[in-house]
Amino acid sequence: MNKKLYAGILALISALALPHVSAADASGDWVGQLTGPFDSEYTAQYNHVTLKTNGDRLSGSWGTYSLTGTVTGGKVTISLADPAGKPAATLTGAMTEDSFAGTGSVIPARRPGASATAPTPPPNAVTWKLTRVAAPPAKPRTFDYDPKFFYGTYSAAEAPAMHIFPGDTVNTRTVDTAGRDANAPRHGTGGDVNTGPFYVEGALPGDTLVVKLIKLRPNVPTARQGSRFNQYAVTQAYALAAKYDPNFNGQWMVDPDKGIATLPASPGLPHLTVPVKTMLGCISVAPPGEEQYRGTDLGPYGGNLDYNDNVAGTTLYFPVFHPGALLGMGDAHGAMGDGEVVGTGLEMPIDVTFTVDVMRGSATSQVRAETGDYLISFGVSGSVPESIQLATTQLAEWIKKDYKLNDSEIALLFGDVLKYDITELVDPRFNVAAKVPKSVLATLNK
Amino acid sequence: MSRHWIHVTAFSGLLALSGLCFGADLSGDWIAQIASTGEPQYYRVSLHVDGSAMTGMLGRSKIEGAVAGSKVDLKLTATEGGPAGTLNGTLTGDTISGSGTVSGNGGGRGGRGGVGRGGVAGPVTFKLTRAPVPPASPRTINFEPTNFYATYSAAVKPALNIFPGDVVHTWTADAGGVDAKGVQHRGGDSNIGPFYIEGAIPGDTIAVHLLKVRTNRSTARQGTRINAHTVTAAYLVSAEYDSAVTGEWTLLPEKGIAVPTHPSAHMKNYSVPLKPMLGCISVAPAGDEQYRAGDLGPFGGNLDYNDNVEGTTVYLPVFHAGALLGMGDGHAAMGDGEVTNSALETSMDVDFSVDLIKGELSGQVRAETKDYLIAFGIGGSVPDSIQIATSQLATWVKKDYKLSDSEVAILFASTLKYDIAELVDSKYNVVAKVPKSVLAGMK
Repeated sequence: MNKKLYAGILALISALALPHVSAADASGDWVGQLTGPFDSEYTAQYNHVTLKTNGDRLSGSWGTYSLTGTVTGGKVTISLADPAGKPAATLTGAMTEDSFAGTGSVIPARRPGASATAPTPPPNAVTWKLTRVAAPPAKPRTFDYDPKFFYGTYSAAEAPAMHIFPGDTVNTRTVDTAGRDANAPRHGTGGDVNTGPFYVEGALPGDTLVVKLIKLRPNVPTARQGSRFNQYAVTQAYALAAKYDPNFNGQWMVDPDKGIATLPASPGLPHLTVPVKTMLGCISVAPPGEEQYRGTDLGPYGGNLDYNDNVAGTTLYFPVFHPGALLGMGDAHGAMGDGEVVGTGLEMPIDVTFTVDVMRGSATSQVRAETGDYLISFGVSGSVPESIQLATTQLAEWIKKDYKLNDSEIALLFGDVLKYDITELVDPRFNVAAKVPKSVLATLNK
Repeated sequence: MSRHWIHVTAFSGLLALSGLCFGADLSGDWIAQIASTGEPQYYRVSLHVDGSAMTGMLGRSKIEGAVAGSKVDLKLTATEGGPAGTLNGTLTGDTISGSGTVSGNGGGRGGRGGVGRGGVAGPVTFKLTRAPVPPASPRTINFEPTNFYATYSAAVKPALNIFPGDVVHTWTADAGGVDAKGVQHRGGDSNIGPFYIEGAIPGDTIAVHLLKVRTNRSTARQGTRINAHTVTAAYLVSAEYDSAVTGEWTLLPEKGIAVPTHPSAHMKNYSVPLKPMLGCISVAPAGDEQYRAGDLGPFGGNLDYNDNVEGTTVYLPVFHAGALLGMGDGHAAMGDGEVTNSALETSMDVDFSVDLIKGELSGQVRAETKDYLIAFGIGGSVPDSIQIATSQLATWVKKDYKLSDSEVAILFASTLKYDIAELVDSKYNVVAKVPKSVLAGMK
């Protein structure tokens, strides 16, 4: 996670000239970018910046820092102070076209937990840039997006396929886990290719991307599924003794109109019919920094969460690690039991309709979700016990904050009504969901 | 998953004596105990006497024998791996006892050597007692508990003998031993019972039908600190607990809810739905094993599953004659995992009946609700528990619905659900379950 980036926000000094800009033009919302000697375009720090002008005086905010400065001719000088009022940075620069850029000096924030008597770290030389926030459309738009390619690597290096604004609605489609029904090339390696990425205007690191799934509907009449237990789902004795039929037909007939999926008759399952509950196995933002993961992986950025309640009507909340968030989705299942115990659900391509929103400055450590009935936190990690702890902890922190509960109250609440779902047992990482019913939360006084 | 069966001759005298024989007519159903150096093994025996000749079955072994006065000689011939050998005994009252030589693998149960281990014939002692005869019609028994035991062990003396089909009306104290009237009994998740189920022998399964599980007083208590297994270490060390949050509850069964007795400002209107459950339901553990009542294992115990409620049937493997059923630790409501180490702990009125499923032993405890078939997986870690629960459920469903390994795999892949039942006790418990609606009509 890029906490180091937040911690490193500081102030910059120096003066450069702004050729043609009058001070009044600088008022408004900007995206601030600070790049230190070790940063790349993926690890730069981004902040929401607001500027107000009064004559040649500048005031405003840069992330959580207060901003003062001057604009004279084409030149700008900015000082930043931390929330306690301590000088944090000085920046100087000039305006080019409709952006400011320059150099400066930033005093690194103390490391969390550092002694108050520890020496102040030396300032860092930085470069900086202010670019105008993209102006949203007069009213939300609806796009029909037909994917031109599919990507199989979660990475900020994946070029956005489309820019959308909060409030926009997108009708699109995903291919199945193996890329079937792809009338377009695949980028990257591995299975579980995603549609997108969608660059969501206004989303910056530290924000939360809100994705509401409006419609998920199978667009082919068949789905494929494995018929062998994964080793994490059964005991070794069971796995060794199991005799699988190599010719077993795992191709389901899916009827979304009737809402059922039917397996071809086999001797023991002459008419296995399960309800269709179409879900997106993968939904993701770009992972932090320069991290890259294949499409089957999962983490704080989401990815292959494989939660069988990520269905139409569910809202997902992602921590944003890069400007635009870079939302992707894929790996739909017509239905799936908990844990994806054979390594697959009812794998199929689907039509997807979704809309997005951005919550400023409220990133949580991992992905969260909300259904009609539950608030949900995911815990993705290298083991089920750790996933349980991460999911419970994140849910506790979320509800403590939103409902102003103390540690005893949240413990009591969880002791009464917490539910767990084991969502993913068979992929590179494990996923456990912790959830509380909204009906019970509704009885709390905020 | 031990298959040890211990000596329970002390209880054999409790078996019903209604089958007193007349003269030498030994025909009928018996239960045999055959012991070598260790624990006795139990078999169901049928005898048919024709003059002085005798035929029948002992478990899966054929009996040919002779009766002369009080002298009874039996020859066992193995089928399907049952024991083989000779037994020579004497009829005394309603019991035939004596000694002999037996080889075999102990009836093929559990894959372990038993009597005459490894197929080598060895000396044994044996005893045959008449199989208990159930009452003409099931009885209704009001049982007032006086013994509250906090150790799962076959050494705990039965409090009541019941037959399959009998309905028992009783009650349990809370985990701390306090009953509906406020009387303090033995605490520590103490159980009532044990109930000796007539006719149950090791290798059977008992089905315990929870006919009624209702709170019987207006108060409950709950912990207010979150357990170390459920949150990160960082959360744990930074948590600041508030002593003003007491964890005392007022139960309002007429409204179907519980409310905090001394609510904090944020919880003035807070309520949770009542869903009364039994935290502990147990049989005596295998062999000489003993566990404190807060523990859990293949014998059940502190399973803490919040669907062990009125209407649920719990299937427990039988490790000792009579099974020795116990129960306790009622919760008015509980979230998954019992994350505050306790739920809404309170006393309960309980009605139950028991059915006996002969000769079917599952590795651990199973259950059935209106909607689901359920297998518990109790292990030393959550991943182990997941594997045990899934495997046990798969084995059960494969057998009952005659499915192949591929069929059960794809059935589970599309419909399996997990519940995390217990995170905070001596062992972990994860539940695997499949909806009965999907299985309906599949047999």
